[in-house]
Amino acid sequence: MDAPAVRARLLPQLLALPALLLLWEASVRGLAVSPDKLPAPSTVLATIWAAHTIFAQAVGTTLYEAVLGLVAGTLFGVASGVLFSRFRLLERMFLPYFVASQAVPIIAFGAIIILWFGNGVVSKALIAFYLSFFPVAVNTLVGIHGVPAEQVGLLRTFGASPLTILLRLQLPAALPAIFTAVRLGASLALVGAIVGEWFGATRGLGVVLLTAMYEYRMTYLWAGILLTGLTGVALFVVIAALQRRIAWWQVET
Amino acid sequence: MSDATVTTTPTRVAMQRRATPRWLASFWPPALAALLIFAAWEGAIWWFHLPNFVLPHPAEIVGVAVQNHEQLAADTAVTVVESLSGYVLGSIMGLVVAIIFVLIPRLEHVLLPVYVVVNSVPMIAYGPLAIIYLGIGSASKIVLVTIAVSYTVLINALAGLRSTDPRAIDLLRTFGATRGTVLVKLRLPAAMPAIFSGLRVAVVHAMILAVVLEMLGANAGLGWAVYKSTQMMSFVEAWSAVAASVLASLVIYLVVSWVARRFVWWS
Repeated sequence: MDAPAVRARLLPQLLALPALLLLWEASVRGLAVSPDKLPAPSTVLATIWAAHTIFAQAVGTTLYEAVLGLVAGTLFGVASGVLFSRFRLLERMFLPYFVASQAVPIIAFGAIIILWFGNGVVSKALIAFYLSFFPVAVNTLVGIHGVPAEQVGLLRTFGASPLTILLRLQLPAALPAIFTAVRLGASLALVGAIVGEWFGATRGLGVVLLTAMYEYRMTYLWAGILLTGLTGVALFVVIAALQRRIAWWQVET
Repeated sequence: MSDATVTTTPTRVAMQRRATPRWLASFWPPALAALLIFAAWEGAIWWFHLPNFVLPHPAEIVGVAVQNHEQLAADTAVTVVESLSGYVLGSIMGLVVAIIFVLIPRLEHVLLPVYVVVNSVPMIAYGPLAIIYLGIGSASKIVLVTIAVSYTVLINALAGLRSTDPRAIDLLRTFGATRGTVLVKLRLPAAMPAIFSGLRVAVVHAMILAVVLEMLGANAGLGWAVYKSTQMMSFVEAWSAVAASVLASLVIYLVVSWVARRFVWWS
């Protein structure tokens, strides 16, 4: 694509957020909407700024839970994907459940995880863990299976051990699929941590959203929504940057 | 050479006769896994002397589900109605918006980024807002499910509608076809596989979102049943509600997948 075409596509996307915020601000002010119905973005930002230590703590807690679970889920997911690719019987036994888990609200098990492990960081991290674990395992396996058999055969002819083939060929080839799953896993982990916080936690974004709802504090609620969105986007950006670092040979489209 | 053929043929026939039928071959490993999981479950209860508020016997969960079947069926119905109404509304909305965007690209440039910004926030974060505006009844769940589903369907439908070969469009236009005809005869059929894959993903989102929002605030539904039973420390009830939500989603997902396969036979 040539430069003007890129600009024509990117410009509206870059302008969308500020334009939306401006329109929102103008209509709230122009129509004199009460902040109890819909607060203006400036009011929301002022609220965040005024209570920034509280909000920073909430974002930090939720992010910690989600990232802890996501990292563990990714490691376990890749490991079990590799295990599945090694032992065909294991794959045939358990993969159907892994696939089915993505079509059902396994997040509802979160309630039981809270019963088991209490209100602390551990239970939310566990929810984030099992939500991100399934897609990563499935995509690791799909990625490894996608490696052409001739390439594996070639390496084997040169005397490469199964471990070398895994580390040098199969895992690198599976990286794009793995990263796709990690990106999905990140948003699932964030949602899992937030939902886990609804069951009686004392800090975190889920708590901000829940107390704002119970106390009808609209500005506070919008601050929670905005920060949740920003946290999600931040996770996404970090993972995309990691992907560019780790899987740098992959051509970006 | 012919010797070899003669000797191998009977063996192959014999092997085919002995081989298990295909449905059985793909069925027994997951069944074995289910058996192992069940054994581990019961084994854990027996070995660690787990009380039923930590881990109930699977039979207990089924028993409670059977005992409460009226309540459970009512809650399942509420959740299914909420998610399916949102699903149908959202699918129509996503499809209509996609068609409008394809017909009027200028509108897409302005409105699609707004759609993307709104949907970059996890949908559950809007839950409290929906409940404040629309109450704890079904309306708040249906509206959020509609928005979430419409986004998934819109993105998939746009990709599908754009995938049409431009030369095929030009060809039809040369024959004097209007934009509308091109859309109905060419673009929509070509986009069907992408649209249906969006519809399949979206049905999963719809159920999950409805259950999660019911946990946040509701007066009926499976998510509400899960939340209520954990607050009342009725753990076996919580398990049975979780199991019901898993089963209901699985059934809906399989039905939608089956419909998709039947209707998009050309993909």
